[in-house]
Amino acid sequence: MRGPLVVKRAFSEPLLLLAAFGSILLATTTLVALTMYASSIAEAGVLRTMETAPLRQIAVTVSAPVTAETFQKQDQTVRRTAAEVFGGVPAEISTSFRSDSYAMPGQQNRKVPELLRFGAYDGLDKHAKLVSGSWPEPGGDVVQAAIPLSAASASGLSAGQEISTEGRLDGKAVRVRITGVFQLDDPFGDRWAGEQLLSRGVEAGQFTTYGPLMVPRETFLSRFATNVTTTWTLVPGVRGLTPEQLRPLAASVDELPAALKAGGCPSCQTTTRLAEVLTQLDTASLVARSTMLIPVLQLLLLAAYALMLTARLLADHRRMEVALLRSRGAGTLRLAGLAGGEALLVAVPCAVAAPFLAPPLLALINALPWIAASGVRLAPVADLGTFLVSAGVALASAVLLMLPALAGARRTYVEEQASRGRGGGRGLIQRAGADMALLVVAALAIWQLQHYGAPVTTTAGGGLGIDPLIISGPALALLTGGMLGLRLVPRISRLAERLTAKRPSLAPALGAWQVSRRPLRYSGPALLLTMAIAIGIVSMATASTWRASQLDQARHQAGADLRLSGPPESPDLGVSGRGTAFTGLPGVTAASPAFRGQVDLSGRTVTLLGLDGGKLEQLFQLRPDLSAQPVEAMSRGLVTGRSAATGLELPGQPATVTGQVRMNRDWPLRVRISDALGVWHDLPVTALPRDDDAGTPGAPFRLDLKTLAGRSGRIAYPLTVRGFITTPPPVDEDAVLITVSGLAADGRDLGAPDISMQVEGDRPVTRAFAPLPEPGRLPVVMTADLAAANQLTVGQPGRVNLDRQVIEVTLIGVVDRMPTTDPAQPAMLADWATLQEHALATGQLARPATEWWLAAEGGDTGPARATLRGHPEWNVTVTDQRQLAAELQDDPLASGLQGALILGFLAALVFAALGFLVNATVAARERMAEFTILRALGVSFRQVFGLLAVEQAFVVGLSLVAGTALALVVGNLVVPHIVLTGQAAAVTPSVLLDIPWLATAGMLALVALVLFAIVAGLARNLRRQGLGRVLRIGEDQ
Amino acid sequence: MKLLHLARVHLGAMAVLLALTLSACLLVAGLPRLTQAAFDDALHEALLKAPAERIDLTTTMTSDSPAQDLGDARQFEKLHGDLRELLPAPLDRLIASAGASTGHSAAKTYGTPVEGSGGKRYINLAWLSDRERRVTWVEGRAPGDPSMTTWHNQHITLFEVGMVREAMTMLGLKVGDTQILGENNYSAIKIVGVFEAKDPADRYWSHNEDIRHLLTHRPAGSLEEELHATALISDTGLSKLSGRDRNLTYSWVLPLRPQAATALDVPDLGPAVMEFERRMKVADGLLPRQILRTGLPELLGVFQAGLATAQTVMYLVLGGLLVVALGVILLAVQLLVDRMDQALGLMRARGGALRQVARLGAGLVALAVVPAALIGYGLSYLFPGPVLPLVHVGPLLVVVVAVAFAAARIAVTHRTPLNERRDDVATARPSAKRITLEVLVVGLALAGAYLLRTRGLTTDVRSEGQDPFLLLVPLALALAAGLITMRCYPYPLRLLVRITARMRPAVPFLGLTRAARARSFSVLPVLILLPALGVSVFASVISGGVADTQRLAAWQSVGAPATIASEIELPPDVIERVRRVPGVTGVVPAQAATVQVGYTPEQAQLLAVDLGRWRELLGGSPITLPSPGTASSGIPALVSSGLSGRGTFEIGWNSRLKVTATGELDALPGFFTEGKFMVVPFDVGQRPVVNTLLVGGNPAMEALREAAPDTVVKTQATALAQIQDDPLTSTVRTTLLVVTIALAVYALVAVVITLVIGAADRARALSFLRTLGLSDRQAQRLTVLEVMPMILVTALVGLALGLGLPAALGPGVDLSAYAGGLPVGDYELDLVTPVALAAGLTVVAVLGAYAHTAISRRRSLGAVLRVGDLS
Repeated sequence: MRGPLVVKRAFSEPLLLLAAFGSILLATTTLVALTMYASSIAEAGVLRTMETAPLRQIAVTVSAPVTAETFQKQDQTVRRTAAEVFGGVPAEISTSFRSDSYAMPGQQNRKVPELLRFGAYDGLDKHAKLVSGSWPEPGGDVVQAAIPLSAASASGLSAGQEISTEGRLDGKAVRVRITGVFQLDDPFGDRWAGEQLLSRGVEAGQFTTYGPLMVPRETFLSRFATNVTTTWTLVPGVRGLTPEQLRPLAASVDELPAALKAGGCPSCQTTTRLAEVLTQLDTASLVARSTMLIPVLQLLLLAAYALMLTARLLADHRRMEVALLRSRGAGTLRLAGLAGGEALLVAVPCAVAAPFLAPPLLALINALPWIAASGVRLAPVADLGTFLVSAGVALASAVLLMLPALAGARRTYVEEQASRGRGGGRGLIQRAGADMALLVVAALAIWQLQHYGAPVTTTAGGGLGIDPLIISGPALALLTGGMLGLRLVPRISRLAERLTAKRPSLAPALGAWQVSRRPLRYSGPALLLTMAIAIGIVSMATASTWRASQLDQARHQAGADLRLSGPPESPDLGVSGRGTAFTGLPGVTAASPAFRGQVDLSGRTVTLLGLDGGKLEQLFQLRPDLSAQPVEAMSRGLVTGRSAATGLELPGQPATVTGQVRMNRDWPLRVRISDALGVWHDLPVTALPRDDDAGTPGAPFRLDLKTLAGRSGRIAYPLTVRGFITTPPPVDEDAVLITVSGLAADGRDLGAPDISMQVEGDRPVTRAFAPLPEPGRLPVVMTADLAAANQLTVGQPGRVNLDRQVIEVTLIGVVDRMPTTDPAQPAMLADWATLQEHALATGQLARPATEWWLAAEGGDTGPARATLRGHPEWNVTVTDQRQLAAELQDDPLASGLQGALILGFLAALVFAALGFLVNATVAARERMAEFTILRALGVSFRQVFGLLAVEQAFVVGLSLVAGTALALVVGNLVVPHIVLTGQAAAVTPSVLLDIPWLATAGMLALVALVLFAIVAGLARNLRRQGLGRVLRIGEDQ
Repeated sequence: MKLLHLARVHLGAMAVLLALTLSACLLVAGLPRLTQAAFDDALHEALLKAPAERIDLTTTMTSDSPAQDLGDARQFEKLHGDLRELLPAPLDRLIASAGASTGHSAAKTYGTPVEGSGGKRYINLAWLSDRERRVTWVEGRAPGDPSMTTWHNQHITLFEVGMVREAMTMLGLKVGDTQILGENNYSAIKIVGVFEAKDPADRYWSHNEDIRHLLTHRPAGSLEEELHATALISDTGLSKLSGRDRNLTYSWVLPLRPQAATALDVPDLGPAVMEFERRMKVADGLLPRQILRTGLPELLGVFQAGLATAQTVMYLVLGGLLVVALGVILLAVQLLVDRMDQALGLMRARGGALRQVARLGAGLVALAVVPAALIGYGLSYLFPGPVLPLVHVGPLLVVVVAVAFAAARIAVTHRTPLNERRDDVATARPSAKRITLEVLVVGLALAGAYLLRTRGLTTDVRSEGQDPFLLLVPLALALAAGLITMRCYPYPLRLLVRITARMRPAVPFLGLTRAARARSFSVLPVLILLPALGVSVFASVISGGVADTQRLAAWQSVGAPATIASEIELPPDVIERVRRVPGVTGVVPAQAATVQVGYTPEQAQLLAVDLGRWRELLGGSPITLPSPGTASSGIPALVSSGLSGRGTFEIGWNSRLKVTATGELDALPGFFTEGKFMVVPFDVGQRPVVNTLLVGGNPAMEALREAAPDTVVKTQATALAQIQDDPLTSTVRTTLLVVTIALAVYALVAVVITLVIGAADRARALSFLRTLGLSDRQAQRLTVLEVMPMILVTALVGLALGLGLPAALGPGVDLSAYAGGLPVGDYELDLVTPVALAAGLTVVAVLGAYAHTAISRRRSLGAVLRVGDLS
């Protein structure tokens, strides 16, 4: 009989049971989806990182000198050890060989011949394609070889040619037939990072080397293996790694060198960054999971509460029935069985359905544009784990559903009757002070979060671990805030009652009275709504803070829209050609050369940044809160140190500068020249052999300005001669007297005054064409710690010791963190031109333009990047702000949080709406008789609707306000600490809470609208009930 | 008047309160001073142990040209003065003046070769500002003015110099000899005197080791050693020394006074050194060219790390002590207030305002507490050590808590006048709030214990600061255990009552029923007794664990009761002498060597010893030796992990030997802890060259040193003493001991007060029963039965808690710094102290019960019964 009774009983309350079913289904589905999401996003993140990791990060290279005899043994050792160490992870092993040098054919007898090298690479044909001819075959007297296209065109060798060459070391003659010409698929890719010759074809140094002529491995071993270095490149199959495998693999990689040495290859040298990469990735995945847990826990609490609310309603509804059952002899066990059976009836289908509903839900989330942008495709499937989670959640839900039914089961019928209608002012939770206890726990958790600064903490074992107390902090804080908010309900309702009682209108007075008399009935849905709203706003704030922080980080790391770094001088662009090339990039609106270097400032190592102070506003992206001084004030202040005069400007676009120099003995002299873009450079002044023409006052010299532009660069004219510099003579030698006269550009006399200098003392001597700035009062911007350590205050002059020279500085501004610099190291910013003038005045070397900072039109760096990509020979490293931001935001491990937040946020809102709907419906139905009587007494329907609206407005209004306030408090306390870098470190610059007010307001309005629509729907429903029928219901009972 | 009268009436309770407050204030104010003084001692020792060169601030400057030369001693003095003026505040106090301590200035050349020695012999020239005070001339005279001489047609300077005997012997020089220095800018020296340090032990010489000794140095890849001597020149010689000719450095030593430093200064000193350097860098004149060299910040950093752990342990036990002391004081206050209950009730009934009544009660408590606190606070100044804020705050806290508790308790009890309460009726259900609070405490304690285990108490202390939450966890655990005990112990008791109810004798039933009903009786004592016992046992277990680990560390560092190691072979007569040293029970010879592995440059350490005989020496020590194992071919060898996996391989040791690895070792006590090493049987070499002796028994270190001169002697006893004598270590141990004893005493006091609190009530009940015919023996048994359950259960739980805490918190508290670097773990259950504690408590409780009946028996039955009528 029990089965049917349970079912019958269940279907007597279809609405409530349906609500319970809905809640449990929602809870199981979202939680299953979230766990699926969390695990699969971590896996996807690891996979993606490993897939996109450059080869140089994951490859393990082992190199050892081999001969033909030892190769077999060592090769076996390496392969066997790799197989042992990597265990289940198969490694792809390729071997590459490089021979000693051979002379180019026909040059055997030259003293400095051009050279050839031979090489072998396992599976070369997989990574290169033939341009002509065929791949070489092993065997035969004549060595068969293939040549890279670049080497072929440079050396003139071609397919089909047969050459003979001779070893430079052993003098052995080799006959080679070139069977084919090939081209590498990706010559500048990571795979060939250690194979300069192979990717370029030519190496120019003291000797020019061509090649390598690639031969089959067998040929190489038999002909060329004369104790040459062999490199094994082991690429472990990390593409399919799961997060759990990371740490063990890292540990075994660390063991590899020792294992190789012990295994019989004592001369093997191992280099790899794999262990480090794996450990970092493991930390990142831990951080991702820990942050993901925060919304999961919030949702868990909310789901539990929503379910309890429904359960309470159900129990309330059944109280009389249970009491009757009890009076007729039902025991506690039997009642529990009934309640439990009913709960299971609802929960079991949910447990089964959830794992199948979750994947489509996730697919929906994934379709959101900004999540789709990260490019990760999740295809989670229901496995045993998800069923377990689902069953667990469903079981817990069933228990929750059963508990309220049991709580009141021991009361007698009379007690029930007596307690009916006596709504106590305070619930059990408040009476027991449980909310206060929760407050203590939540405060503790939040305080610990602030103390440790992250939800992952260092463990006693030295690693990192998820901290359960801290991680539950935000959820507990939300719950506590909501519960404390409930304490407000009776107070506010009493106030409202007092206010409305004096007014003539009926509905508000009745509504306020109702709430004030039975606050408990309204506090349930109010708490649910408050928490849901708070979770919603905190989720939105977290997501938006996270995105804002990623942008801040990108901006901070890049410093400018586009930052190009590289050697200040390259064969292709020279010194001055770089500026013209970079400023000429499409879309560039402002540019400045920049110096970045480590200097010694009063005993500590400091990053010095030199940047065109006048262009700071366009170039220097500093988040406003990082400095008390605005960037434009810094910009104005930094340029005050520049001197007005410049130097001797060279008119037109001269290619040479000539003049005469007279010295009392041979002494090095340099001339400092700057170009229009501000790059300063020294050229040596070397006297040409003197003509016998007595008319000239000294030896002529000639500066070839074209060298400034390299092979293909353009000089940024006009050039300016800044001055002449020379080093001091040894102590006990006489002073050097130098006179420079008759300066002419392209033969045109410049009319410059003669310069004469007497060089003595122990400092370099400088003579300039313009008055040199006093070496003092260098305006600088410093990081706060540096300014404090040097006891400098803004606007005040002070002294510092810069690279062992005491100089006067004026502090123009203080920044908390200097963009583009390591946060662990203090940094200083100075004006580029002022720095150069200082260097000239003190006879130091000119500061090289190690970087170029560029601003792009509208921040769009795409065209400029495209151009840069087309010029690999410019040898620059590009830091692109937009790309950096995209990289930061698209990392699945980091951005996974957003999906979880959205899922949690939506689920929270649905929970709230569902709970509210059920509660309002039940309340309205219970009071139908009351309303009907009111209507029978002549209260209009509008007034009844008003009454209902006022009552519910209480719940809705209070929850919206309390929820928002709670979210603000919790958001401020928590959110800045859960935005972390992938390595669980604090973010630079520090996180600023960003609450999207517009979206928040929109969400609040939407929620209010939905809830009032529910109320309106209920009211409409009431109206449809006939007066007479309802009034007669009571008589039936 | 009223107050004094009341005080006279309740003299006993007042005296108890007074004594408790006094002792608590003394402990709370005195122990922190003691520990802080110990921290200071530790700092002094750490600073004194370090060479002066490391802790003094030394600035150096090089000269490259005549323009940069300092030729005059006065210039040095002036620069020294300039440097001193730059010192920032916290350093200024610690730096001695220029002439004092190790402070001086010097000019030294370095790498000054002797002409024609092929870069193998160097004689550097040095000038010391205070050489008159530091050296005595034992032969010849002090160097005088330089002169000019001619060498190879060049006019060169001839310096008069003095050297130490050691350097002259090694270089083959004697007084009167002349040497030419330099390889292009030549100068000559003439040795005119031999000097010795006036006080060779002075820390001063740490700065000038090169002057006192000949230094040898073997450049990488060279077979021959270079000899570097340093010769002293005169003031006038200094003026002829130029940076143009020689590598010349000037240095100024600002001496640190280790005794002036306190542990409280430590955090400020690092930044102060940096600030000093900065001021130096931006000063005028020559100062910016100087470079500061000091190891002080690193040394202080290491010290601070050790200090942080020590402080954590101190906070832990001192906090426990404070809480227990406060608890016992509150118990005494409760005793006093209960005694006044009737008087105050009467006052209230006769119209006394609540405020008035509360003020009277609180005043009486204050009368006892305030003078006691003042005396305790005053006495604490007898302890050495700096005055910390805690010294003032601790006693104040005690006074405030005691008085406030009295006032609050009276206010609550006498809220309504004439409110008759009966404590002996069945206990009321605990309120929901109380249950919530208890659940909260228990929950937080358990969560905290988990976090403490995972996070560790001292993991991030240096970077993140102490985590107060984790510090409170042990106490919270004790509290939680107390709460659980309190909630649970009536249940088994009621079961007992049910059983005894069916038995014939009435006494067990009556006694146990009274015990089960007691309510006011149980709360506070349980909450005090349990932490007191728990922390006390915890402290004793920890301290025992530390002691054991120290012993283990000492054994591991020596490997035997004593070892003797020599660089050269030990002849048989020395071995025989060692054998005859009193206390020696056995001598095991061994050979230590460095051997070549295979034919590669790889090297390994080898020890050839008979492991069996060695093991015989180790009777009763905590270390174990591996067993040698046997090999079918080759010499069986135990090898380190760095050498394992090679099977049989050859080594080069005197001759070439083939060894077979028969086992792997992580470390060999007393010899190897890391790197590549192996242990082989003693008699495998061609001829045993004994250079190491393992000595058994308990010989004195001096005796061994005498028997085997020119050797390195280590004994386990001295190693242990070294570990234990570290001031931080001994402080931690002393504090643990003091706290153990203090807490045990407090636990006893708590038991006694508990007995006394219930005395009046119990006496009345007994009197009633006596009228019904209860004999004295029965009365005694009844009292014991009433008191025992609570004491017994609490003692057992406290014991279990104390024993369980180290295991529960073990991984979280890193005490390795006090145990010679070994992790303190595997706390052995040395049950003697804890069981003695618990048993003592129980015995005292039983004795108290007997005493109580003995006292109450003396009163006449009628008088006792009539007491109730009057009230």
